[in-house]
Amino acid sequence: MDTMTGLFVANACVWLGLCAYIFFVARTQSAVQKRLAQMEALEQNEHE
Amino acid sequence: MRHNSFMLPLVIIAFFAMLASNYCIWLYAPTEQIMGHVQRIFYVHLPLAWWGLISFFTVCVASIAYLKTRKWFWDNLAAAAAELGVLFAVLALVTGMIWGRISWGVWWTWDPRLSTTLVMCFVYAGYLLVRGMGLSRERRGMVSAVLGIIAFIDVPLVFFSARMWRSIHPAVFANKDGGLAPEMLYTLLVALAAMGVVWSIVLCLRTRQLSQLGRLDALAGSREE
Repeated sequence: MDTMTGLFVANACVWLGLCAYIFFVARTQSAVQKRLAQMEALEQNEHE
Repeated sequence: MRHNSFMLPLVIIAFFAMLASNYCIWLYAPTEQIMGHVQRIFYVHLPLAWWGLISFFTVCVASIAYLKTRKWFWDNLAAAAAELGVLFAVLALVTGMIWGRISWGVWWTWDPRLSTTLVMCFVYAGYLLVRGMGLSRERRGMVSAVLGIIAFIDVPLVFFSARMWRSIHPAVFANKDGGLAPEMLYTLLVALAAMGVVWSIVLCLRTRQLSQLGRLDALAGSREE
């Protein structure tokens, strides 16, 4: 591996790792929103 | 989403911080004379390693605070910090391995700094496994808080390993200015700050998300009863 390839691979790994974690957080957040909406709908149904 | 209003400025701040950091790394910092361009890995490797260590320090502090106050905020903060710490430590190891392959000729060597860092990664990966074991919330909080404090023993070892034992890993800032040219030092400081901004934002978001998840689980549990 030459120096430039190493540098690009290292940077790619960092960005991939960070983006993967942020993607995981974003997906979990959409699941949380979905559950929250279900709970609210359930509560609304009970009130009616 | 209800919190979009405060998320957007944070994302913009993180974006510009990373932009400034990458400008300094790729265009401002001079090329090191002996190692050449590969030395630029240093500007991501060191911030990842340091913020990883700060994450584990946060786990320890939050664990102590949880045991004292029994407030879920501290438990959530410890969990979020542990996740980020493992991510940053693994990325620091990966970037270090690539750098090592080019400058030392090997992917891995059982050097004190590398070995203690690997052990630290395994210990905190274990911490996250314990958290995911499906214990009750109270029990999980208690067990992981104790584990979060004990696990911190390895963190000072990682930091001081290159100074205490014979190590081929350089101890950065072992002397006053770290032997860095001013442009290199400024680049490092900008990279450290940018990584810190990203770390803080993701830590806040994940902590808040974990608290939402906890509340939802508690709500679902009370409905079932």
